[in-house]
Amino acid sequence: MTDLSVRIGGLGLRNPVLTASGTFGYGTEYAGYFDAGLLGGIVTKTVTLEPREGNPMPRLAETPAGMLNSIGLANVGIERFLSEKLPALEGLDTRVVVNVAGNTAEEYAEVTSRAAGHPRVDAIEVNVSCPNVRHGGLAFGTNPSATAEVTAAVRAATSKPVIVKLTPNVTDIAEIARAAEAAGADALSLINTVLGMAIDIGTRRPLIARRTAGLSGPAIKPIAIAKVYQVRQAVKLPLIGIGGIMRWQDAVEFLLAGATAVQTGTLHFLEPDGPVRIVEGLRRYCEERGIASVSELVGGMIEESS
Amino acid sequence: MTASMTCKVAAHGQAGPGIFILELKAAALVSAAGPGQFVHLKTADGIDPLWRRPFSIHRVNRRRGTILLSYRRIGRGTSLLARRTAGDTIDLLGPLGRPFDLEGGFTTAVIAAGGLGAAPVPFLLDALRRKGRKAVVLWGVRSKTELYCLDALRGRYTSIHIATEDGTEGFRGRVTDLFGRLASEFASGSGFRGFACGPMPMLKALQPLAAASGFPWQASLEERMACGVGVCQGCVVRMKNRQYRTVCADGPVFDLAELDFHD
Repeated sequence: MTDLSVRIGGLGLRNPVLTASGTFGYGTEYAGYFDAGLLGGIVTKTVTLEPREGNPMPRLAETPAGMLNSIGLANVGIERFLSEKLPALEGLDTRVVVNVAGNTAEEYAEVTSRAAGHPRVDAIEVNVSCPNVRHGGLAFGTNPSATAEVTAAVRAATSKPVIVKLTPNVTDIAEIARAAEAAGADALSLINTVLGMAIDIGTRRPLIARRTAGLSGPAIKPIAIAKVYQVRQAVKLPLIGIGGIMRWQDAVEFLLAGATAVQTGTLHFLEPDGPVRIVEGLRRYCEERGIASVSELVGGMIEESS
Repeated sequence: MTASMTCKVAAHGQAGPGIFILELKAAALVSAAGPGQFVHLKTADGIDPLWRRPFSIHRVNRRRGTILLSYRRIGRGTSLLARRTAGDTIDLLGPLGRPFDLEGGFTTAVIAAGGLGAAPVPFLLDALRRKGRKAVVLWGVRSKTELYCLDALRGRYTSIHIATEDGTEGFRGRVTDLFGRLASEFASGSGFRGFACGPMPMLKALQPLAAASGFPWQASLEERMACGVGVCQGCVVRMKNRQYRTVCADGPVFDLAELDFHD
């Protein structure tokens, strides 16, 4: 019997599969499809201080092996999140990670302190990587000192594990990762979406109202694997790999590249119960190979050429 | 409770130019689904295309334990779907979304449909007839060959008015023009309830006419969707109060008067 449990910066997970922010709602929308208790954890949609309506339509476009989204952090705001959304998660037997964002480091800290103050919240994921908002998001995550500033503010606002979510839209992701580590992050999750764009050649208009958007899905998986591998060399923090995971084989690949856990996202839109199938596939893979603990796979890629 | 399930194709055939009717074995959906709801289908086994495709429920057949969908073959997803034949299986999520509201006091439904927007109308009519309600159907298409489900609309308590843009059948013009001509028939206002389904431009054109009709209208919207269950927030529509609502989970049926088409 393989031990699937892993630890992410002090946070014990039943298994290494979590759902990515923005692809699992507030945790209850998919309740009818499977038991979230079968997952390592769920990451909520990004929560900000004030409610946000999000970006104009169209917000989505399907692309080869992927999709563009420009939702713009539409969310109910921390007040309603605490009073309406979080109580519904009380009964879920899984880890709850709240993803937070803000216009300033102070806003990140305030949302964090209010969310993390709730006993149901197990960890905070810091969104410094959304490509679809003008302020906050990517503006912090593309700059090492701004990343450090936000990370330190969040760190000071809670004693619960802090996971900083990184963007691939930078020249050197290792530099950003080191800045987050030095500022007190407990773990890093990567990657957020890749900046992308598509144009309708019939109408000559962009397919997304805000023109550029975030690319996700299988198309970005090799980019994500490379970023996980690069960041693994740069920091000692546990990593959560994200990007185009559709099958359990993809999850194994992320672990071998250096991730301790993974998040699934675009997958849910095709297969709501996809994350559960990935847990089962991971278990079979380990059992068939006599692997006692899934954490043995972490960073297990063989580097030397044969 | 919604669920994902694998359904067998009971029958599949062409009903007009590029228009298909797909019948799926889905006994669980027959009693669970309401008119205006939709199902989200995987059209491919792999990831091309990536997303599911939403289809409103055209009709249910209680005796056969099936649901019927109608669609136009326009892109890769519907082209792949059109190749499925009886006996094939299809992965389905549903029923999804909020159905038409048929409660409350009205004696006659006024139904305005544009093109393939007629897809949910037979299901709606079946539900209205079971409640003993009358219906007046106004259906606008480009040309008479697109009148793919006239037989499914015909029945007791129902009168049908057709508009074609090319004048090959019925009134020459759009369904909104047709409604404008017939509006005096509904001038008393009381006892009527409006149901509109079709593309956004049609609903936008209908909105002021509906507002002047003196009775309330519900509109079923068409939109591209990813998740289909309200998670991704990708298929929103602007309301008059400036807030967005998801077409998949808050809709697809909305109060027509509340929609803001000027986004």
